[in-house]
Amino acid sequence: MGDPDICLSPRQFPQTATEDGISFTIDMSKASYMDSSALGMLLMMREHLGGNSANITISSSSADISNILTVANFQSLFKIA
Amino acid sequence: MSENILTVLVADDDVTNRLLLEAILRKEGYDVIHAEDGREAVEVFERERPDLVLMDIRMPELDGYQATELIKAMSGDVFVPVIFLTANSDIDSMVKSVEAGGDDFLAKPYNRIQLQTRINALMRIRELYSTVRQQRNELILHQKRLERERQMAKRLFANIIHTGSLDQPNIKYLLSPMSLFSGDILLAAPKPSGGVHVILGDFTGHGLAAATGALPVSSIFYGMTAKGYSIAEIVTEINTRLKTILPVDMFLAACLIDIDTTTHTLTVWNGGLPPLVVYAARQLAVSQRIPSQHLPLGIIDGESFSRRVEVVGIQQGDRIYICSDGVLETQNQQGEMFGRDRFAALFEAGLAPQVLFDTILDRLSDFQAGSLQQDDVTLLEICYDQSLLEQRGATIEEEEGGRGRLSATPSSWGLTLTLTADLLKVLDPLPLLIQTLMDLQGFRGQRQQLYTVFSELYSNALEHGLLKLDSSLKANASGFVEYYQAREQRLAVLSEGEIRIDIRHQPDAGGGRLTITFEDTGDGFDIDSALLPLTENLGHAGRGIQLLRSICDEVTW
Repeated sequence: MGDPDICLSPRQFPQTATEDGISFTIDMSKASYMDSSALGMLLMMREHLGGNSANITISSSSADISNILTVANFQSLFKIA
Repeated sequence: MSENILTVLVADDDVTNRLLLEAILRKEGYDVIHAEDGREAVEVFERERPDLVLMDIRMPELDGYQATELIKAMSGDVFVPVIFLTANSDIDSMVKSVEAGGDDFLAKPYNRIQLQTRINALMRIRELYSTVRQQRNELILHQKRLERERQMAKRLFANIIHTGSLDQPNIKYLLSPMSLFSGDILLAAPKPSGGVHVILGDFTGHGLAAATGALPVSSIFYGMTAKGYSIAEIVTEINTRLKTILPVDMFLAACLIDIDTTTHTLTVWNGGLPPLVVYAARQLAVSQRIPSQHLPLGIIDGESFSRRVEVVGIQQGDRIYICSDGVLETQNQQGEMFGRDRFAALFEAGLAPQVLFDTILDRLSDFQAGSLQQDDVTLLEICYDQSLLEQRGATIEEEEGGRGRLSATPSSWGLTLTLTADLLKVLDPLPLLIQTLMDLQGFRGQRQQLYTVFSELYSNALEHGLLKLDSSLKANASGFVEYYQAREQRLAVLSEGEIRIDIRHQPDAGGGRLTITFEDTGDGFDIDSALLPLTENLGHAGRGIQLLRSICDEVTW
């Protein structure tokens, strides 16, 4: 699988993340495509936001991105809106 | 600048000039050597390798321009500044000096400050030049060493990962890694009971990191397949291992398949790869499309991991296709992706199965039309050819050759095992049993036969005895699927019953005699219907007992 166009390090994720009960939404409306490294970044974010207790929604995905999320079965880890 | 004393060569046919320059230079702390003409200048330069040259233009033998050209050629990639000594600064001699490789001019009469300034400036350049050269050489050396290490690691990697039994006439594949180490992994291994296991995987990223992750995958895959574990068990083990070793943002999208030549079934676990496609040879159309139903490997813990597999029937000549997403993401020169729709369309043109693989490759390469490859691209085609797939199981067994821990001398022993319903639900006891037997007695080259006998007896006891499944279901391919679905459902709710296995070994004249008894708490079975001769039975079911007879000296019930 390929490389990401942008690089995020966990430090750049919000610091408030460790508090419980906060939900996050990732707005995908401006992304046209996503490769496996981007999926890896989503996993990193999820881990940072509490792993299994993280409450993350991925919203406004294009058809291509929705398909990629479905193929990877990410609906079992994230809420897909 | 370096602390060393610098040596300056003064080339001038006029002795007064030489002595004057020498006096100035010595006062400034330089070592001075002389040459009386151009030829001597070149000779002295070659012998003494000075750091800087002061060159008169008009000299006997060789003039200053010619001598400079020779000296510059001799210094190679070391920067030795040459300063021309001129009576006047006419444009013509300046141009000629530069053409000859001169770096500066000094006009007579000589001035101490002026000379010092010029020399300092040129020495700074020389220092810089030498630093750059040194760094460049280190870089080249480093690069060579790295390349050697990479090549060595690549060979090592290839030996460990080796493609197993991929080099078969019924298997075609395309593996085009972007870098020296591929982020894609493609392995095939024959099962001890006949048929083959295949894994196609695609790691996040590529290169060394991805290749390192491939090492445990290959050892688990080959090891567990040879011991007779099912792909559900293998995929669970790989997931557990990868979850432990991979960083959070790295995972393996993979598809594992089990092609079984005894039951004519294809068992699939697909987590994160594009759909597996079965192209039916008879209908010239897609008969199965098995999409990803799981998370890729290495993301979630053992408890929540799903090892659920899909079982479908398969017929002689059918083609199975699996690919990494690099195939769908192949880009053309406009940056457009090949995509799912174009890929799906390839299977809808009613092409002959023999030409399908090459057609896919052609279309991909036409589409790409020379644009740069973005990702690892892996595509696999397996033709379901019963005879070929069965042959493989036999060859590997010979290679394995007895590794029994006891000596090969037949000895007398026995063991009894009772498997309760609770245990049967979660454990396939065969790999464990066979391994124990191999360790105990070292049945040289007989693993496959042992495996066949045990698996026939075991599935008979479990499927017909305890689960009360009817093998007449298996009359056709779709019935097979139904049969295995029913097997899974009934096994999941099995609450009572047990299977007792008794194994005795006695040395005898011909070596040793192994007696295996399977007993189940089910209703028993009708022996006559199970006794059609093998040659008259070309169906999908009821071959078990005949198979046993062909291997064993004696089969009783």
